[in-house]
Order: sequence, then structure tokens, then C-alpha cells
Amino acid sequence: MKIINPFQDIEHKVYNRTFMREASADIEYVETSLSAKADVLVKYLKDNFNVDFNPQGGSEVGTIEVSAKQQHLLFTFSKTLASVRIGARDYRSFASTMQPGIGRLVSFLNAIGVTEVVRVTLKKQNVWDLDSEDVFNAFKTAIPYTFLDEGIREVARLNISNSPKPVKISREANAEIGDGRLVVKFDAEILDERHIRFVLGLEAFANDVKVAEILESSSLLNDIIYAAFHDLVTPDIIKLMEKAQ
Amino acid sequence: MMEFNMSAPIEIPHNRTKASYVLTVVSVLSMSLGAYNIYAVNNNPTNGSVICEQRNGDTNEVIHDEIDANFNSEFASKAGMIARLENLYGDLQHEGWDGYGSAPLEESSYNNTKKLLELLSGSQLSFWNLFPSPNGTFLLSAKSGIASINIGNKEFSYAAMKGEIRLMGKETFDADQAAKVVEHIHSIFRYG
Amino acid sequence: MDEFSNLQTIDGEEEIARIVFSPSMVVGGNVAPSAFFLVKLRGDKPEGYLSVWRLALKVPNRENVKFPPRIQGDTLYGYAELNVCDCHNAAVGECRCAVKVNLKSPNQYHAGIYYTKGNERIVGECYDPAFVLFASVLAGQSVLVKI
Repeated sequence: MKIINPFQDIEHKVYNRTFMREASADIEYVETSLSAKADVLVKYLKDNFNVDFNPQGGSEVGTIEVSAKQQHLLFTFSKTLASVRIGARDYRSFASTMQPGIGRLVSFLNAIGVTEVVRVTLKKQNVWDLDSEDVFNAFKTAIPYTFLDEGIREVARLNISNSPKPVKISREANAEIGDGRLVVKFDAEILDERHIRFVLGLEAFANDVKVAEILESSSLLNDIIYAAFHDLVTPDIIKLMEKAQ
Repeated sequence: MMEFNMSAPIEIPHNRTKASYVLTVVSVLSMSLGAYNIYAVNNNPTNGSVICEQRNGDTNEVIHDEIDANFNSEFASKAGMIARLENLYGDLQHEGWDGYGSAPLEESSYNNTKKLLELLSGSQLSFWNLFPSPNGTFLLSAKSGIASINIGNKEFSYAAMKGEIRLMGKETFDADQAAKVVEHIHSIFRYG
Repeated sequence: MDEFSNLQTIDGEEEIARIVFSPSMVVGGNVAPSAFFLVKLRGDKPEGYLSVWRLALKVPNRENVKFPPRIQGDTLYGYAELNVCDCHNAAVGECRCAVKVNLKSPNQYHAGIYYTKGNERIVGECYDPAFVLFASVLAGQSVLVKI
């Protein structure tokens, strides 16, 4: 597995504010029965989450979800997928928030005896909601205000003023990053007479990753997503994110 | 299909040490309620769909509303200012537009002003009014306090006065430098 | 004869008005400092003073404000009212002004704001930051009256 970062390395900053709504890491692997690993799962769940798992004899375990009580933090384990989802409120930085979560997924994989996975995917989703009396004019001006990328800015130049509302325009871009890919999904939506929404989804994945290398590869994927985000948005957005409370 | 969570960012006092967790287990053949709370289950044709409980509380929504409100006000302020520039330049292309001896607004002054406005944030711009000058240039005038920035074809001049503090200068126009002057004026008046 | 020999400085108790024609010179009830700028007139002649009305003698309204025919849609917005004493007391560095009336003029309601910096008169377009600031002070002191 070799991941290549197509962007220039930039120093990671922890911002005071964010437009990110959710970050997640998904790890896909060859189908593995959880019921067959019930004993190790009991220990794993107790050690990592302090929850008691009492497997019911005779039924196959489908999905196990572990959610934090006071945080938007959700772990999901199934026969082919282990994932962690974190809400923006609880996300501070990749290193302090995501990596410990991914670390728990690695522990899970070790517990059930998986040594190599099919894919590691990191996703971050950002949302901008805008309220305007002149929604079509705002659509045209808010896109270049928010996004630097010409492929996204082109959306502002499309003739949509006569379209029946709601209107949704989507753009997707892909970039090869060695043994993986970066996928950028942009949606621009006029929801009604007053509301516009922009959604920027950034997804980077690496294929065929050894479990021992998951943390390192997810860190590289995060570097790529971080750099891609900074390439795509304007300095105005960065300044907003830097603004103190 | 992506899920959208309107949960809230910011204010991450990461002194949380230990979280407590809730375990949910869904078996393929039957729902296991037992001692667990069912929050959400992945779509699984064998099980059927299950109710998703709203996880996010009011606090999360309020925090997201705040950054959205900021985004809205920043955008409105900046877009409004740039629209004013465009309207002034478009409307005042004839001599005597001020009723006296004014000259048409100059293209270079317009371009320079636009470069400066694009560098400033919406919240910075909210402290200023944009006016045309009868000599064909543009003038940024502070809404509160005595400060002005005159942007011409090749130069810009600036002046700010607060108590005994005086800031004045005249330089060859450079948008980055002009933006720095704006920041300096803001620090004098303690704007935003 | 020197043009200034006919000029007399107006009493500080008077109120004067700078007519504002273009709405572009007003934002949110604030008059542009540039409404108090001097310009370069036709033939490159520098404007020597800023024309104002003496409100004690004549109050501007839609009937009595005349301006040269220009393009269709020309407007009269209102006027910026100033106190002569405040004008005379205003200072930024060496920039000052004096409100004067030409005693020989048949239109005694018409006066001019004469700008100086130190011993020099300020005429025509001026980018001096001190003058721009001075004009900002005048604009800040004025009260906008819509006609």
C-alpha cells in the first residue's frame, strides 16, 4: 500500500470554528463472523468501552453499535465493516479525536484476527447554510465567496433562474493518490425561496492496507483531505474558521 | 447515500476524559432488546428498518446556527459592498454626476478598490461605507469614528483620528498594503 | 482687484447647507466626506471653494435649487447642514477652513468654504490625507436633511 499526497504539505491548524458536520473512518475487510469471535468481543468491548456484551447463543450477530452517551461518537462493527463516526461538536483535531477512534478499530481487527483490510476510508463533510431574500443572486455570488476551485465556481455560472425550486446541482471530482483515491463531492442546493445549502464531501481511501499500517495510512489520508479542503475554499472561509468565539 | 448531521462544532473543551457508552446489538435473526437501548441500526433487509433516535440536543443546533449566522452575515456584508462598488461604477460614468464638477469614476480606481474589497472580510467591511469621489476615485469612510481611505488610479491615501492618535499616509497602491492599513485602523478603533 | 478683498467671513452663529444631489453620496444617513472635496473644473481650473447656502437667507427646496441640465433621472437628494462655528473650529493638523461670502455677489445666500493648510490655500482636487480627514470631520459634523 502506497499513498501519494498530490498536494503540498501544509501545517495543520486547529480552528476555533468549523463547517464540518461529521468525520468518519470506515474499514472494510473480508467477511468475518462476529459470532465465532464472541469471546474475544466480550473482552474487547469491556476493555475499550466498558460495556457488557452478552452474546445470545444460537443467533448470528449482525451489527454491533457502541455510542457514547454524552458525545456524538458512534462505533459500528459488522461482518465486513468497522467504522467510527464523530460529530463536529466533539471533533477537535484528527490526532486528538479521530486517531484514538481509529485505534479502537485497529484493536477490534486485531481481536478478531484480521491482518489485512480491503479498504480504509476517511470522510469529512462540510455544510454551509445561507439565508437570502434574493436566493438566485445569492446562489451566484455565494459560491465564489465560499469556494476557490474553478470546477465548483462554474456551478455559479449555470443558468438556473428559471428552474423550478428546489434546485440541486452536484459535481464530483476524483484524484488518484497511489493505491487509493480522493473523491470530492460538491452539492449546491436551493432549498426554497430563502435558503441555499452547499455541501462539500471529501473522501479519501486506501486499498489493501495491513492492519499494522492503518493508523499511518489514515493519517496520510487526513493530510490529503485537509490540504484538499484548503485548496477548495476561499481565504474568507478560513478567516471565519479562525475567528475567536 | 450520505447522512447529514446538523450537529454543532466549536467549543471543544477537550478535557473530557472518559466517555460512557451504550451498546446496541442487532442480531440477524431477531431484535435483541434485553438491557440495551436501541438507538440506530444500519439498514439491513433481513431486519427491516429501525427508528433512528435524534442524537443531537438543542445545544448542538444552537452552535451550528451560530456559525451559519456568521457565514450569512459575512457573506451579506461582503457581497453587499462589492455590489455597491459595481453599482457606483456602472451608474456614475458621466461628468457632473454630483451636481457640481465631478469627473466620471475611473476604471483603475474601480479595479484597485475591487482588489482591496476582495481581500477584506465581510466583518471588516461592515465597519465602512463606500462612496464615490467627485475626482473619479473611491472613498472608504468609517461608519463610526473619523477614518477614510481614498483609492485612486495609482495611489491610495489614508487617515484616521482618535483622540490624540493620528494615522496618515499616502502610498503607491498595493492591495495587500491597503488591507494592512485597514487592519491597523481597526486596531486603533478596536473594531471587531 | 484681489478676489479675496470682497470676501467676508461669516458669523459663527449661522447654519450653512451643502446641497447633495446624488444619492450615491449618502449611505445609512451618513454624508460622504467626498461631498466636501474640491475638484478640478473644466479647463483644468482648480475649484477654489466649496459652494454652500446660508440657511438664514435661503433654505433649499425642490423649487429653488437649480442645477445645469444633465442626464435624465438627475435627482436632488437634500443637503448637509453645518454650523459655521463648528466649521471654523475644526482642525486636522494644519488644515482649517473659513466660510466666506462675496459681498459683491447679488446672491448673498451663496457662500463658500475656503480650505487652507497652514498658510497655503487648498484648491482643486487634493489627496492630502490631512485634508481627506478634515473633510471627514466636516461630514461627521453635518446633519443630513432630505428634501
